Amino acid sequence: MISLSSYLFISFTLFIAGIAVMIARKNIIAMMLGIELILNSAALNFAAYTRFINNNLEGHLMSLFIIVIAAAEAAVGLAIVIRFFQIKETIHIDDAAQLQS
Amino acid sequence: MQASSNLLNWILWTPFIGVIGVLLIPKSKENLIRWWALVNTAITFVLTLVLYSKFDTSVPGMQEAFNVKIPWISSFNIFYNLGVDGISLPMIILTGLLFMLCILSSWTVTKQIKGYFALFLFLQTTVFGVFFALDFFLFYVYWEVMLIPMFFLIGIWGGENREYAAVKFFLYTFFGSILMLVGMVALYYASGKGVDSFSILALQGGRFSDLTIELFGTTLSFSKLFFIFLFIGFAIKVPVFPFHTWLPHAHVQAPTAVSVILAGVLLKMGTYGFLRIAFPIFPGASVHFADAIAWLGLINVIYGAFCAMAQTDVKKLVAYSSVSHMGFVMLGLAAMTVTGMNGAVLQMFNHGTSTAMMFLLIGILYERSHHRWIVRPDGSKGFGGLYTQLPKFTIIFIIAMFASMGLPGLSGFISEALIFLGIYEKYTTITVLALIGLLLGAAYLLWMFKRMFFGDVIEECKSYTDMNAREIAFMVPLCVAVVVFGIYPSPVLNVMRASVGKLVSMLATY
Amino acid sequence: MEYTISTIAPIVLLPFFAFVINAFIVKRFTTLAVIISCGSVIGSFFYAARVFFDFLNVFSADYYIHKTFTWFDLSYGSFPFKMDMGIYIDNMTATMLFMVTGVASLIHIFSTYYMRDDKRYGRFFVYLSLFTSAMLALVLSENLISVFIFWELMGFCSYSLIGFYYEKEGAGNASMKAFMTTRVGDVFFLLGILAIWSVVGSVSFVDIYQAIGMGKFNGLYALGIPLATFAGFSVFMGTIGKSAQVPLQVWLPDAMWGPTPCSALIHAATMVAAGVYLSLRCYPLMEAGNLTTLIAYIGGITAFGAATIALVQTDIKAVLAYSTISQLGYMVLGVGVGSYNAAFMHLITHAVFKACLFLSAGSVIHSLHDHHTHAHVQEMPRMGGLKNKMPYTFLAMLFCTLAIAGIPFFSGFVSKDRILGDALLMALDNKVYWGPALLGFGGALLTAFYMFRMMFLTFFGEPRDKELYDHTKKETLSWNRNLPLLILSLFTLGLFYSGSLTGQGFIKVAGEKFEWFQTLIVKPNLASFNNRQSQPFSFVNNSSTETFTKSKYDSNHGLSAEKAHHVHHIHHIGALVSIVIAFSGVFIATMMYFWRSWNPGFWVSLFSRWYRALQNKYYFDDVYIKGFIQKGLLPLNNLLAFIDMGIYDRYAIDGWEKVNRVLFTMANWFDNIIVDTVAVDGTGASVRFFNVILRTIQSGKIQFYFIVIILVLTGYIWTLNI
Repeated sequence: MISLSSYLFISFTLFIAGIAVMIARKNIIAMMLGIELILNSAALNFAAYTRFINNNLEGHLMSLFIIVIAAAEAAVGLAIVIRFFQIKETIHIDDAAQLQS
Repeated sequence: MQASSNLLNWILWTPFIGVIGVLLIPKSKENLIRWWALVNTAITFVLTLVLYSKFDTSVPGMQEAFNVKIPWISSFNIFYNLGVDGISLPMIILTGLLFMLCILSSWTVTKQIKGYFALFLFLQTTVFGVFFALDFFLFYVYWEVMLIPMFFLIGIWGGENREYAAVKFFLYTFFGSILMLVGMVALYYASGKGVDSFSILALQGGRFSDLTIELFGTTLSFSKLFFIFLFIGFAIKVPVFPFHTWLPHAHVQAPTAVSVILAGVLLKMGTYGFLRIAFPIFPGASVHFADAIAWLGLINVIYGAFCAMAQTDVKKLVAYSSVSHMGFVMLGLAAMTVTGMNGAVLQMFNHGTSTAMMFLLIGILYERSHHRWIVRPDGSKGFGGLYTQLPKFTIIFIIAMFASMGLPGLSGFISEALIFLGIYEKYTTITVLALIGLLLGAAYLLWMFKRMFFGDVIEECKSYTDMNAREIAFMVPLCVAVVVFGIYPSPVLNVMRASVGKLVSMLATY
Repeated sequence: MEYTISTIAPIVLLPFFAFVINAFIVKRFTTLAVIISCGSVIGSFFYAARVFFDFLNVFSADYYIHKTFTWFDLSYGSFPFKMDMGIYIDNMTATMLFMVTGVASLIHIFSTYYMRDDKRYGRFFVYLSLFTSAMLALVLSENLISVFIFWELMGFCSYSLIGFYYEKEGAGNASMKAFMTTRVGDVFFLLGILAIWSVVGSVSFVDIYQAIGMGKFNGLYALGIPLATFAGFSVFMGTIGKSAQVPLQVWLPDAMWGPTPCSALIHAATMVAAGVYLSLRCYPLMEAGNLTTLIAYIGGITAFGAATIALVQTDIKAVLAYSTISQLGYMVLGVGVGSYNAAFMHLITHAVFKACLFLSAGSVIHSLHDHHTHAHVQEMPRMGGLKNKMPYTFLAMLFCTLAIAGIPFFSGFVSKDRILGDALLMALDNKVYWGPALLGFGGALLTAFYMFRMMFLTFFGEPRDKELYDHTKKETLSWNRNLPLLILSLFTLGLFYSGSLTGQGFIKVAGEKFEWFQTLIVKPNLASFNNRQSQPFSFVNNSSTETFTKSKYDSNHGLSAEKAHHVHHIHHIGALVSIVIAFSGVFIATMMYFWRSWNPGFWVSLFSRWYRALQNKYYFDDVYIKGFIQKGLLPLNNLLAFIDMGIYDRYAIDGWEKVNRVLFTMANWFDNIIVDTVAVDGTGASVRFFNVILRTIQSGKIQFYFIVIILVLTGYIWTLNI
C-alpha cells in the first residue's frame, strides 16, 4: 500500500525541481514550465491529503481548480512573453529588469 | 392644516427650484433665464402674500398652523424647524418683494447671467431660511450659507474694487458668525443637550439667568457673557458702531441689486437676530445691557449722519445713511417698550423699502453716468441739473429721499416717531441727541439733492435719458408701499403687534 | 344743525383729492388740473364758511367739536398704546378755516393770471392744492402729532415751491435753507411732543388742557428743567422756526425765490402763521412753563429787528418778506404779553393784508418785463410812477399799506394796537416787559416808514427806468388779476374785525355785533376740560339737542370794574401813542421819498456802520453759513469721515491684516524651520539613507527574488522547529 509519505515525497521532488528550474533557467518559457511543476506538486498534495485524512472530495476539487488556474496562468504568461518578445526581441529573463528603478 | 403648514416649505424652496431651473437652462438663452428668475420670484412673492392673508394677527408668538418640524440630525437633536410670527412676517414679505424687484432691476446685467441669477435666487432661499428658522443650528447654517452667494455676487459682479470689498464683507461677518457659533454651542451644553437644546423657542425665557461660568479663573455670568457673544455676532450684521466699516465698502462695490438686498434685507437680519434670539434667550442680560445698546444706537445715528454728510460718492452717502437709520432701530430695541419695539420692527420694514428705493435709483443713474460722484475728486460737479434733465426720475427720487428722512405722510416718520415715543421716558438725554440725527438726516440728503438736481444741466448730463418703462415698473411698487404705509401703517403694525407685545411683556419682568 | 362727515371732511378732502387727481393728470390736461384745483379750494371755502358762521352765530362761546378715530393701536396686555387722529373745532379753528380757505381761493384765482405763461403752470397748482389741504388739516387737527404731520407736509410744499425754478442754483440753496432752518424748529417741536406725551399719555389738545388744569406738569423735570418749561419751550421752538422768529428768521427772505403767489400764500399769509397758531393753541402750556417773558422778548426783538432790515431793502419782495417777519414778531409778542385775542386777530388781519400786498407786488412784478434779460423786475430803484400804469393794483396796495402801517380804521391798526396796548399794560405791571413794549412801538414807527417808502418808490415820482416804464402795458381790469386784490383790500377795513378803535372801545362806531372777535376768541378755559366726554368719530352729532346760549359780550372781560377801567385807560394811551407813531412814520417817509426834502443818503452816511449791518441782515447768514456750517459742521463731517475710513477702517480693521501678516510670518518661519526642515525633511533624509542600502538588494532580477523568497521561507520553516 502506497503511503501518504510516498505521495509527499514525489510532490516534494516535483516542487524542488520546479524551484530549481525557476532559479536556474534564464528562458522565460522554461521558467513557466517550472511554475507548472510547482503547481502540480501542490495539486498532488491536495489530492493526497484529502485521500488519506478526510476522504472526501474537497481536495480533488481544489486540484481541479489548480489545473484550471494553471491553464489560465499559462495563457496569460505566454501572452506576456509574446508581447515581451515583440518589444525586446528576446525572452531572456535578465532583460526584464524594469522593476529596478 | 397640512396645506398651510407646507406653505413655509414652499416659500423657502421655491427660489431653490429656481436655482435648479436656471442651471438647467442653456447659457445662451439669456432672456429665458431672466424671465424664469422673474417668474420664480414673483411666485415666491405671491406665496408670501398668501402667508400674510392666512396669518392670524391676534396670536402672539409663533403661528402653530404653519410650523414645520422634522428631525434633521437626530443624534444632536437638531431639527428642521420652521415657523413664522409677527416679527418675521414683515421681513418675509419685504424679502419677497425686494427680490422680485431686484430681478427686474438686474435686467441690464450682462456678465455671466446664468451664474448671477442662480446665485441671486440661492441668496433668497438662504435669507428666507434665516427668517423662518426656529432651530438655532438651522438658523446658523442659513446665516453662514448666505455668505457664499453674497461673496460671489460682490466679488464677481461688483465695482472696480470688488475683491477687497467681498473679502472684507466675508471676513467681517464670518468673525461675527464664529462668536455666534460659540454662543450656540455654549447654549447647547448649558441646556443639557436634550431634545430642546437647539430650539430657539425652548431656549427662551430666563432659563440661563442664574447660571455662571468659570473662565480664566473668574466667575462670570453665563447669560451676560454669551449675550455679548451673540450681540457682536448680530451687531456686525446691523451694523452697529464700531463694526460698521464693511458696509460702505460692500455697498459701494456691490452691484445695484445686491446693494438693495444688502441694505433692504440683510441688515435687518442683525436686528431680527436680537429680536428672535438674543433678547428672548437672555432677557435679563439684554435688560442689563439696554443702556449700552441705546448709546451704541445713538452713536450710530449721529456718527452715520456725520459721515454721510462728508461723502462725495452718492452711493457711499446712502450707505452711511443706512448706518444712521439702523441706529434708530437699535434705539427702539433698547427702549424695550411697546412703542419702541414696534417702532423698531416697523423701521426695519420701512428702511427696507426707502433705502431700496434710494439704491435702485442710484443704480438707474449709474447705468447712465457710469460714475457716482456728487463732487469729483478734482472739485468739479459730477451731476447737475438732473431735475431738468430727468423729471420722472426726480419725482421718484424726491419720494425716496423724503421717505428716508422721515417726512410725515411717508413711511419713515411713523416708525421714527414710535421709536422716539418709546425711548423718551427711559433715555431723555439720548432722545435729545438722537433728534440731532433727524436734523442731520435731512441735511445730508437735501444737500446731496441740491448739488445733483438743481441748477443748470451740466454738459455730460445732457445725454441722460429718463427712466424707461421697466425702471418705472420696479420703482412704482416701492413708491406705493412708502406712501401707503406712511398714511395707513396698520396693515404692518397689526401683524407685529401681538408678537412684539409678547416679547416686551416678557422683557418687562426683568 | 347737523354736523356729519360730509360737512367737515370736504374742507380738507376737496383740495387733497384735487392734489391726488392733478398729480396724475397735470402733464396732459393742464387746464383741467387748474380748474380742479381752483374749484376744490373754492368749494372748500364754502364748507368752511358754513362752519364759521355756525360758530359765529349759533354755538355758545366755549363750544367745541372734538371727534377722534384710532389711527393705529399697539396695545398688548398691560401695555396700552393708541394713536388717535381727529378733528377739533372751536371758534379759533373755525375762524382760521374761513380765513385760510378764503385767502387761498383768492390766491388760486390770482395764480391763474400770474403763472399763466409759466412752463410749469399746472405743477404749481398741484403743490398749491397739497399745501392748502395740509394747512387746513393742520388747523383742524385735534392733537400735536397730527399738527406735526401737516406742519412738516407744509414744510415740504414750501420746499418744493421755493425750489420751483429749479434751473436756478439760488432756488436750490434757498429751498434747502428754508427746509433745514424750519427743521431745526421742527425737531424741537417733536421733542416737545414727546415730553408732553410722557406726562399726558396723549397729545390731544383737550387732554393737554385737562392735564395742565389738573397740574399734572407740576414737580416734573426733564434734564433738570421743569417739564412744562421744557415742553413749552420745545413747542415754541417750532413756532420760532415756522414763523421765522429770531434766531431762525434767516430762511424767510430767501423763500422769495418761489413764485410770488406762493410767497403770498405760504410765506406770508398762512404757513408762517401756523407757527403762531400753534403757540396760541399751546398757550396754556406756555403759561404753565413761565415762558411768556421769553416769548415776548423774542417777538419784540423780531418785530423791531426785521423792521430795521426792511428799511434798507431795495427788492420789493424783500421789503415785504422782512415786514412779514416783523409782523409775525408782533403776533408772537402778543402771545408773550398774554394778548391771546389780539395776537390771533393780528394773525387774521395780517394774513389778509399781507396776502394782498404780495399779490399786488406780484401784479407789479409780472407787468415789469425787462426785454434785455427776459426777466421780471423786482428792484424798486427801477420802478417809480407806476400808479398811472396800474391804478387798481395801486389802490389795493395802498389800502394794505395803510393797514399794515397802523392807520386808524384799518385792520392792522385794530389788531396791532391791541397787542401794543397789552404790552404797555404788562410793562406797567412788570418792568421786565418794558423791553418788548418799546421794541413793539419802535417797530411800529419803522413799519409805517418802510411801507410808505416802498409805496413812494414804486408808485410815485418819476419813472427811474424810462425804457422799462414805457414797455409796461397799462393795467386793464381783469377778473383773475384785480378781483382778488380788490376783495382782499376791502377786508383791510377795520370794521370787519371790530367796531371800535382800541380793544375796549375807544371810539365806538357800532354796536356789539361788530365785536365778534372779542367774543369768539377767548383763552381756553382749562377747568371746562375736566369733565369733558369724548366723542367717537361717528359724526352724527347730537349738537342739535344742545342749547346754544351765546355768551354776552363782556366789555370788562371778566375783570372787576376798577381793574377794567385801568385797562381801558392804558389801552387808550397805547392807542394814542400808536396813532402818533404811525403818522410820524408816514411823515418821515413822505419827507424823504415823496417831497424829497430830507436826503436819505445823509442818514445812511451818518449811520454807515449800522447801514452795512442792516444790509448784511445783522450777519446772521454769515454766522450760520460761513461760521457754523462751513467752519464747524463740514470740517467736523470730513474729520469724522476721515477718521472712519482713513484711520479706523484702515488701521483698526484692515490693521488686522498687518497683525495677521506678522502672525503668519512667524507661523511660516516655524513651519519652514522646525516642522518642515527638521521634522519632515529629516524623515526624508532618513528614508534616503535606507534607500541606498535597499536599492542594492532590489536588483530587478526575478530569479534573485525567488532565491530570497526561498531562503526566507526556509528560514521561517526552520524557526518553526518541527
